Amino acid sequence: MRKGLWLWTPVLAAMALGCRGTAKPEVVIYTSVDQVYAEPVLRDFEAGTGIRALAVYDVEAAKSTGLANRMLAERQAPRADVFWSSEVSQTLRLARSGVLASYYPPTAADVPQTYRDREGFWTGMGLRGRIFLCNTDRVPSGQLPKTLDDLLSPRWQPGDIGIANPLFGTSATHMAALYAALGPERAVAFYRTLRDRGARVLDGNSVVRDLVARGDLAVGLTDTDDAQVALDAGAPVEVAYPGPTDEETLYIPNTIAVTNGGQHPVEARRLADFLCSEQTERRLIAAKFLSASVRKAPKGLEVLWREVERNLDRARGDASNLFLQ
Amino acid sequence: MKRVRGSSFSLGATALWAALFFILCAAPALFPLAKGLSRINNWQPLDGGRLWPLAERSAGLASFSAAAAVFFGGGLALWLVFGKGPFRRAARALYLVPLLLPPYMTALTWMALFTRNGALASFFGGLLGASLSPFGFWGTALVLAAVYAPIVTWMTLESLESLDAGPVEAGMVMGGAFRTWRRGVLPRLLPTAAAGGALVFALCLAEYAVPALLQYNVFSMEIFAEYSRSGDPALAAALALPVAIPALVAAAIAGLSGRLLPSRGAGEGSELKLGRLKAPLELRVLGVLGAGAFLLALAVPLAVLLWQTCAGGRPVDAVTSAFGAIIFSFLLAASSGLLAASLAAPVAWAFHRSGARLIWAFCLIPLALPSPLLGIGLVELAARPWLRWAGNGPWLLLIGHALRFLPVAALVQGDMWRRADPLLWDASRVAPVSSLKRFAILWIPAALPGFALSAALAAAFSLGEIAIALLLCPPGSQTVALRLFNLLHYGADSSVAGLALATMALAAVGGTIIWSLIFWRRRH
Repeated sequence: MRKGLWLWTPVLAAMALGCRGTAKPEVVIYTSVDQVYAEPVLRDFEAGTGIRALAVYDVEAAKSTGLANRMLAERQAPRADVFWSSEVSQTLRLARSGVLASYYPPTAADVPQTYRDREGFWTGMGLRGRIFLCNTDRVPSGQLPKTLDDLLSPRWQPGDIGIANPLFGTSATHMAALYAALGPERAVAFYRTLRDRGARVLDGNSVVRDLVARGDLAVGLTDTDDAQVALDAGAPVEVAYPGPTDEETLYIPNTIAVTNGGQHPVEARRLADFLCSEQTERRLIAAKFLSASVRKAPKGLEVLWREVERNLDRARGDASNLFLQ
Repeated sequence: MKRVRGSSFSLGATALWAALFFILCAAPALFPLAKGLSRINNWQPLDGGRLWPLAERSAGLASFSAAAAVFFGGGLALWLVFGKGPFRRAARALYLVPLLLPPYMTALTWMALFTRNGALASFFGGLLGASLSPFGFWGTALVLAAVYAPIVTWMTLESLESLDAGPVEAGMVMGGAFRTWRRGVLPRLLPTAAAGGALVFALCLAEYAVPALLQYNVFSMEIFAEYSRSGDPALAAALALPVAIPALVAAAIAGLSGRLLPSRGAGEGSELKLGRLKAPLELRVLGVLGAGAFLLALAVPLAVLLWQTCAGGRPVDAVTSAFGAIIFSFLLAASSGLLAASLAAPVAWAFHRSGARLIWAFCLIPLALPSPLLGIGLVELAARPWLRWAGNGPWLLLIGHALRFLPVAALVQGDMWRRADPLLWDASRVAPVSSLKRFAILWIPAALPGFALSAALAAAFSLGEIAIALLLCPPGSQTVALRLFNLLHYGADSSVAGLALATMALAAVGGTIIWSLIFWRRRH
């Protein structure tokens, strides 16, 4: 019997890991930003403040089971102190659910009101755009789509166009933003026509990017940072911004929020200040994760985020009816 | 060969164990539902007309995947017995390897070959004059079958190797090889293969990531979509309840199959050397098909991952930078595997000694529930004041993985007990030794192979699990699977491939060590 006890060594090791000391001040951050971009920023914060940043990173494949739902489930005993989202709709949902606390980071005083919550539940930092990624072997440079309606053109064959499933992520935010900007009827007609013309609804923006890069899709609707990966890899792709002068391009801010009832409120505010600073934003733009600054936002689709939030549920319901059959 | 039942395990005691087992496996997942029952009037989505068509698609996909897994996995088991040459020995050592790669990664490797400009798409396009697409029903079903077929192979192989030599060899002399296979061997194999198929069916029923990637809408997507829209885990849990129906059907099939399969008879000692049996032609063909499918299921992901690793920049960096995640993952996998096996041991024993077949129902229903529900339920339970200690450190994640894979461990151990010689227990009962000594000298050595195998299988599943890990992973720690999927979004193909290969290699080494220990114990 004693011979079998060695099998329990991993449990004892796990116990040792679980009971490690926590002498340094620390802050817990949940983030949906890719680890390759977020980790160096957090290491710099640690070096500058001496506060240990314990991160949990999201994964695209987890969809709705991601960190926002973890925060909702944990709201009775929050573990996260700061939420750094790569988009806005999950943050709006958390704010509505009472998970977030009001905080106005002084480093974000110069951020326009469009990219800040009036009640201080979140602050925008940097923008990512929703763009067309086109495979240049299949779509010559002069014939790139210029507007969203161009995606409905009969020149595309079924299976040429791809979008990420509008039930999740920035694709869901985009659909809700179109509901807010165009009105629900026009927006749902756009998505219905897209479906009827054989657009492929894919598992995520990175899958859209990969299929465009491989030539499976002629055009995909995806995010600027995903497109940048394909460009950096030397894939035969080109980016086009929706709208004759980009006015149909939706720019989605990263959002920084402090948790209501978090265990490290002082450290949380310091981290939020750091993340909202212009210096952090510039760094992420240089890393090509962000495409623009909230402080000098390019002209794009004009939406009020409150309106986007109001349309999220309806848009998701319609997306289920249209694409989940 | 009648089952010898122990008097110490009445149906009442088994029912108690079964209830405890079901509470452990399913209650955390259903806890949000219990909390949210008061909101039942607002649950309009449950009336949606999409649900039943999606449920039918799910059941169809899971049924076909399970059937294909039985066909190819069972075929491979036959080939491993009567095949010849060094490839057979290599296949014997490697046939569980496809289980070590998360299903989503396997699907991605097949996509790399069969999408428009993929290496095989143009080859088959030229050969067949039509393109082969990995998307849709067939691609999804075949990828799921390729991932889970090793489970069927393993169960069938164990069943084949535990056949008693006496009656089979007598049959060979009296009736010839063909009739012996038809009347003696196959009737004993099919129920085990069917049971393996039922297990695969339950796992496929809960699968979300592969159908989503390969564009085949299934019922679990509805659960995720509704959860995403409402953020209400109670509603998600209520939506998940219909999967209990096909899971129950699968459990009934597995249970009935088990009834057809006699357990090992008293005094059956000698094991059969199946290589000496000449198999009928159709079984040989099935074996070769199974071996071919295995070769594809193993070689394609490995080749694609190797190619991506070599084509990329510095995959070694990805492995070294993930060193902490690798250590954490393996400790977690080993601990949760051991915990699952330990919790499963008394349950499997109780079911075995009482002769009850309901173990399949108790195992397949929790397995068919989407795993995020278990994670959400545990998070909500851990918010209770008396359980807050579990919220700090890796405990909750360890418990989550152990509970998720507890049904797998119970089924594996139950299957192993079925092969144990009942004469031993009867002999031990009349022997003048204390219960403690009987436990130490008889029960532990007999239980150890099943215990180790079930722990290894649960650990392998734990290595690739992401849904529960994302919900329960302690801040500052990360599993390899989470890191892999995070890198996947960033498009770091070579890093993903390098890390996946390194994890598979380490897991294979660990598995080989456990396997060697089991065989060492069997020989001594």
